[in-house]
Amino acid sequence: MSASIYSNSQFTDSPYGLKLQRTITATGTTSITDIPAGINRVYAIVIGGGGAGSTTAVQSTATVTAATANGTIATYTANNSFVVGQAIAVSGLGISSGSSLNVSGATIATASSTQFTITLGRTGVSSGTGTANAGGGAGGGGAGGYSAGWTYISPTVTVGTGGTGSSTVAIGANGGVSIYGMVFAGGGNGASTTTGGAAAGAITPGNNNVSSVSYTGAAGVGGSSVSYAAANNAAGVSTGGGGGSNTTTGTATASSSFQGLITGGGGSCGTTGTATGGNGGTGDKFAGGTATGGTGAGFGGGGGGAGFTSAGFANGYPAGISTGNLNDGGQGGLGGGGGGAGNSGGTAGSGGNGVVYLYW
Amino acid sequence: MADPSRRGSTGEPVRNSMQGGNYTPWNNTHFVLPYGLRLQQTINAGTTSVTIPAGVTFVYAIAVGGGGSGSASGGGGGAGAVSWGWTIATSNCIVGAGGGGGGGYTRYGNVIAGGGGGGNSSGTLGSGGGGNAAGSTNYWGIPGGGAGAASVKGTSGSGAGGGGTSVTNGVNGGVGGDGISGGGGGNSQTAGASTNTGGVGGNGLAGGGGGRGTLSTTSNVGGTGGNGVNILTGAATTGGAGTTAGSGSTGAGGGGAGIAGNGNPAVTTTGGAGGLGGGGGGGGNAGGAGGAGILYLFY
Repeated sequence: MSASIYSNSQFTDSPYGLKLQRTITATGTTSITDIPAGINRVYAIVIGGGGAGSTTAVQSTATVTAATANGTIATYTANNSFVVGQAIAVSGLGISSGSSLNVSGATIATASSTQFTITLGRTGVSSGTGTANAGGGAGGGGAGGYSAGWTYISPTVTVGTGGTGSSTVAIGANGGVSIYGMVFAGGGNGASTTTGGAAAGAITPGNNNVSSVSYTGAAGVGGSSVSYAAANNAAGVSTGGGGGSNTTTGTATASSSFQGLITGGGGSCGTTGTATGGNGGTGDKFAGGTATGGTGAGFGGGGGGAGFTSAGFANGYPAGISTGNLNDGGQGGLGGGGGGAGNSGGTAGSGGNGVVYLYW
Repeated sequence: MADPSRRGSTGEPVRNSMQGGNYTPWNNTHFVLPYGLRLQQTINAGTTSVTIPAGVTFVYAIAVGGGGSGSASGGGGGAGAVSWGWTIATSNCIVGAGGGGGGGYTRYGNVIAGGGGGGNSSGTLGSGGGGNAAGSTNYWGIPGGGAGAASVKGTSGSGAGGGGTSVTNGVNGGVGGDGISGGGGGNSQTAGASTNTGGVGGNGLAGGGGGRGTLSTTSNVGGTGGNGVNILTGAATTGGAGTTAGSGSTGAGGGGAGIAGNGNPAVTTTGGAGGLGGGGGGGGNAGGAGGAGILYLFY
């Protein structure tokens, strides 16, 4: 069966039969001067840079000498080096009055060198001494956006850089936007110190819990909802980063990113037991980075997400080169993969750079 | 001039036709089966890999999410979303199963369609809402419809809203909204002597499930599933019939039609299963399962 393309407008604008003519991977804005004369429109696939993972503070342990709780806040007396936002578990405390103030899976609300607090709906006073373990995991970076369509030719192209991973405990860096003519895609969202970053649609998400609207018009969504660009804990064309584990003792594994065309990085896991980060999401074209676990703070980094152009890196490869430290995240694959999360002062994985393909 | 055949030299036909042509690049975004392309593969739920011939770079995909299931409390399930467009060819796919709750999503490359909402649950990514729940914005940004108020039909949208639950004995449940993917019908479930009739499922390319009627001391009637369209032939697909029961029992709703199969009739107090290709399940004491999703690839 064949059809005349001259009498069918739908067929005319299909990309079927087009040939890949240019692949632009150089980040930043560069000139394109070699499109042949007479080619005035091209079909572009534009992919934004992946978001970086986040990382967690160094895991540490302190001896709790006293604790009280008023039904809203529990205050623990302990010489410590804890950081606000770390997951915390307290064990071994006796009960002087009221409820037990031993906890697990809580988050540090405030911290000084001599005490820390958590939000707790109990009332009581402890007796004896206990042990506090602070750790937990951070989120993996979100995948870059994927946009495709016809555009008039442009003398310049912009390719977004992947967000750079860091050992600083903070929200990860967003990926950069990629643009060619009328087609553009946002950078993946950098992860938070607890949850994964949202995937990008046409623009870069402003919030790691909500993805952005896609180039086609599909809505941005919050976590756990399927969409073109998904937030954490859901599937899509571009997927969000996996969340960190809030377990601080025993064996634990952080969340992996979901499958997509481009995927987010895996979360990290900070526990005194066997710590395994989450894998980067499995891509349609390439694999996500695998997270290798082990016991203690030297492990637990997440794998990088799969890019459109290459696989994500395993934990221990935050910039695509091995550091030998498996508490470092893995870099996202080229073509928008999200970076894996770091653990216990390790370096988070950088997002993969964006890429632009031109067909005519 | 290059050979105008679709299967001409790589790159040449399209490129030459575009230059100076009176065509806009955006008119390929409306819903038309691309003329001149052949349906090459039909992929059912559970399949995860695809083999595309070498040299085929782009594929036109129509993805249909699984239908949502009906429920006892919320009415019929919403129909799965229908999404369409060109995508880069890949060797992986995901085709959603019918709910059990919400239906599964279907994706090939960058074409993705959400699964229908279960009874009382909202739709996702273009799917219809279950009875008493809103539909959802689709792949192309076309808004979804809202849920109907009590006994009121759901609002139209790409993913239409479900019909509202009736809170008055003898008043029908709301009809599911019409759209690309129909909303589920609402229940009628207030005790009394008048007949309670569940809402009919909304119509679309895939239809929503019918709602249930229950708690009448005389007659309880399930709503019919919404109708759909076989998008390969243009022929109608039909929703399944509801059942009728007397005092103390339940009339269950029929399953909504899918794009590839008719909805199934309800069986006693169990809702009918949705048709293949995203039909919503009917409401009942046990809700009918949603119809499985489906994926068509053209190249």
